[in-house]
Amino acid sequence: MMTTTTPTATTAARAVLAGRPERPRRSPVRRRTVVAWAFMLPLILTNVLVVLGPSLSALYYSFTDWSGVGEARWIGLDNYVELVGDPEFLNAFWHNIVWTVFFLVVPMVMGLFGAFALTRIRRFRLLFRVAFFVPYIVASVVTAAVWENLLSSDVGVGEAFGINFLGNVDLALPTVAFVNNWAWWGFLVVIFLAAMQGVDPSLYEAAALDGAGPFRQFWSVTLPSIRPTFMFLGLMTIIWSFLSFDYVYILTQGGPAGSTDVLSTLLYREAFASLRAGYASAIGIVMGVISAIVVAAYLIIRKRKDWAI
Amino acid sequence: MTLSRRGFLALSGVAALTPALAACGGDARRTFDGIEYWAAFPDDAQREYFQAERVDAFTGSAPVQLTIKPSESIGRLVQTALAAGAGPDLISTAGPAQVAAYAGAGYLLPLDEYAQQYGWNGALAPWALAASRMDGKLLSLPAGYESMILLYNPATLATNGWSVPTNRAEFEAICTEAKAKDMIPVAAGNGDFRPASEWAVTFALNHHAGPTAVHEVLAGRIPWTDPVIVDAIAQLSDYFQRGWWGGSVEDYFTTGFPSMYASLASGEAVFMITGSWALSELGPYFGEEAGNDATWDWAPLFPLRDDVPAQVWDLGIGQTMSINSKCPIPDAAAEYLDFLETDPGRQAEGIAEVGLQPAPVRLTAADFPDSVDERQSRLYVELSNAATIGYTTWTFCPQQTDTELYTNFDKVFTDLITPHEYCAGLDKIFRKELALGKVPAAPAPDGLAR
Amino acid sequence: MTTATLEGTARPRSGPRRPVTGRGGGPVVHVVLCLLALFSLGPLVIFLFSALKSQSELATNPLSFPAELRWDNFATAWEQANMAAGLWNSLVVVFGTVVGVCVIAGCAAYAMARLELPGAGAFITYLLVTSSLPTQMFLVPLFYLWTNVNLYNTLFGLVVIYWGLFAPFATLLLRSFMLSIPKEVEEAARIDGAGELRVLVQVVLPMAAPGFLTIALVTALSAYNEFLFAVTFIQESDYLPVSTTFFSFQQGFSQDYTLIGAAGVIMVLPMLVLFLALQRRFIEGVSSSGLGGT
Repeated sequence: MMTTTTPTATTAARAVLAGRPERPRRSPVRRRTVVAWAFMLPLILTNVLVVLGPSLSALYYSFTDWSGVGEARWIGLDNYVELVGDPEFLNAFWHNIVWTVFFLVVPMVMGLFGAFALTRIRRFRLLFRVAFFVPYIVASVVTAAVWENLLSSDVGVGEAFGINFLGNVDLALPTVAFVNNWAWWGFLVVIFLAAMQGVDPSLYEAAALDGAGPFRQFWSVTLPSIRPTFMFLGLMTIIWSFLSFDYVYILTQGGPAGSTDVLSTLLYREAFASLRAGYASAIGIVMGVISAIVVAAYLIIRKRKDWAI
Repeated sequence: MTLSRRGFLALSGVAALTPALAACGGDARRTFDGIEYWAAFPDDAQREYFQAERVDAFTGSAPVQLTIKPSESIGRLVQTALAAGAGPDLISTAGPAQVAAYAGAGYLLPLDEYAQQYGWNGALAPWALAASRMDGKLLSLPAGYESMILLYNPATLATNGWSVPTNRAEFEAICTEAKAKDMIPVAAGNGDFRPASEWAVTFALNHHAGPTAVHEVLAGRIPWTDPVIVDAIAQLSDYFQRGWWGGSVEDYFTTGFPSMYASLASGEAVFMITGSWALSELGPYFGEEAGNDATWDWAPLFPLRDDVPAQVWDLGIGQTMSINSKCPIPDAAAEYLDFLETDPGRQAEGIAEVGLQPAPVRLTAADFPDSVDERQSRLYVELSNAATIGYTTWTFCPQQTDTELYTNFDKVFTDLITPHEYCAGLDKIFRKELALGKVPAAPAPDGLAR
Repeated sequence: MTTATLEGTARPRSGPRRPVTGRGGGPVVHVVLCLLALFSLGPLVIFLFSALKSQSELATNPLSFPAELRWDNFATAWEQANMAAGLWNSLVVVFGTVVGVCVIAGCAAYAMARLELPGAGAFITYLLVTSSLPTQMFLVPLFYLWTNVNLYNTLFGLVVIYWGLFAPFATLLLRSFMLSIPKEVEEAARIDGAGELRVLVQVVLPMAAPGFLTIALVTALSAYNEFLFAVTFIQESDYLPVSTTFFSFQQGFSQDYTLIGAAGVIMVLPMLVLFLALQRRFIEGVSSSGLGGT
């Protein structure tokens, strides 16, 4: 579901929650600090240049009526006010929510199931792992082509069912989500498998002795043990669901009749087709704020419940 | 600090790579002393022809450098380049709405003096020049123009005992029969190109509501919610829901152009309501190239209501050319524009050879070489003599209105909004753009500016 | 348990991980897993088949093995979709991006993991939040900036953008990896008088090599597949990477699934080969650098 522009954020954010700086050693702290910042320089430089600077520009433009061409006139909060009442925005926002729910459920269940099933077999585990992971490395443009062909009502599965999946106003969004899921769930299997492989086998033995069958073991041993990974991926799923773009853009461009429109495709259309870069920037800022809120909520909950990661 | 050998190799590798990568790219600064022109072409044949006949063949005061861009991104590439203070000398856009945006930002050089000098006011069709003027200034030249037409396969009509429709009753009769026989009455779809829905809307507006009504709407004198407009939309939506466009509502959303042309050739579809640009696209699907013996022909579109004139040509500007206000050699650029656009013989030859869309100069049968396809020459000769014109939405509507127009029409025939709601939404946006001066000047239906 | 898993990856010995007792799931589990594998690989196999068929065969027999193997589809697609230039450009971009990200992330991760950078926690949160921003949002301001510094329409300019986009995650990933590396060897080197750069290069790098390999592979994948920025920031068709040439090709030839299939296979092949060759390392790196266990 996430585009390949955000690789393994799992470990990334896991790190957010992990480290605190250590106690200072006896060696001179100041020299270390200077050196440390020197080492940070390339990252800071590229980040400011490519991400921070343009993001701040976008924030500025969201308060203007800039068309992407020419002058930007300050209009204050007008864009945001318009957003709240804009049926297209609300429509896209709703689709993002539906998308989020889909991705919190389907790939997670498939990933958990696949990983757990893999822990219970002795042979071929690696083979299956590779098989499940391959779709993840295929570029979204190619995956879309693969499925467009398969689902087409001329030569594919669509013809067999007599349904035009991508042309149907009700079925298009689940179909696009399905395609994205196909490329995504294998990644989750790999992550969950690694997490599950760290579970203490004696816990399983104890459960088995208590007469627990596989499902019960999964529920009471596996899931709680991998909870940090699981919660973490849940967090990233929510964030990425609001940013999803590739598959919708390539497969349906928000159609048919706006039934697959999501916030990022709306943003793109407003910026480049309607020539309303200021308004599009406001949409972008809203998306960023949502992500920030979700991260903040997660960090607060984690602190409250005192979870260790 | 000493570096280990490994560290040194790594660092020098990066150091060596950087200039190598930079050398791989080009330099955005101007290093070329001629006229820079970015263009996109639908196929290789047109591109090669243009390079040979319009670039290499130009012997004016400065050479021309043609840079090819992909058609789906050229608009955005030009836009972002201009926003960054760069951009080519000759700016090509897809229509007056974009020109208005660029002009408002000061990117374009007014061309009135050059028009005087080269006599463009006489050479180019008045309606096109009128649409190219903003605030009385000429800011672009119409470089390519097009019209909506009806495409059909004569054999299909003959086999089924039909003739080319000239009014609504005939059209509806054929469509009803065709649908009953499980054919596609009108090959259509926006699977490849989302904005394609506005071709149908253009057809409905000009041939149901009528060009006079559309002219009034574009001038802001009647609202989009006027019953004559709403009825036109409602009627079109009804046609879509009967499955006349594309065979079914769902198939409409996923049908692409190759599929449409192929169905016309195979006799599965009866008509295609599209623009004159299609004439240079459908070649590969008919005849020897395609391995069948299908032929095609075109006819003018017909009125859908009694009050509408019998022959209305829905005209549009497919491409505009302007001079970048930062161009260091505007005189040479204007000279090139004149070369590109005004000579009827050159335009006609472009049509004949590769189906290059012509500028709106008056063409007669005599201008065309003998090798020309009769269907192409007939079209452009008739267009040159058009008495009543209609308005294509992508030329005469401002940018945001146009985007809403094609995006939301899909919601009308899928019953997500009513025709009245659709028109009300358009009206709201149109009023805003009208107040901001973003609406191109629409000439009156009889072709002259008023 | 956590330490055991993490240490298991940090130590130089690369043995198999602690075995998980397979419960010997019965045939049902195997069947379901096989079905899932079919689900994952089937569409790709069909895609490959369609790349080898003629258009008329595809229309009549969409899902079956091709009757005759039309290898010329690949030659046609190679030419029409300008694959040679596309693949070369992609190679340049991927290589430049990977090298740059490794250097940037390596330095920064080391600073945050070992050099007691003040405010590291806040910086990490900052990196996480900014990488959650929608990239379409800063497309135009970035373009304006790039043209002003003459990086527009250069492969190098695109590479720098990728450094900015992909380095944060690589940094965080490497950092957590480095955190799990035992400190004793480094401390010994420092006591011996080695400067920070030397410690980094001679001591930490070799031990963090698996982590570097992981971020290299992950970054390579992202850079190779990325297309939105590539198509916006590279103008000359000669400099377009393969993801964008495939996209344009698919838009233009939307109905010819055989040629699209061939072009798609050509595009996927390099990454697939790389992945299959290094998959153990790749997967183990992704999953082990700080994720496993409680």
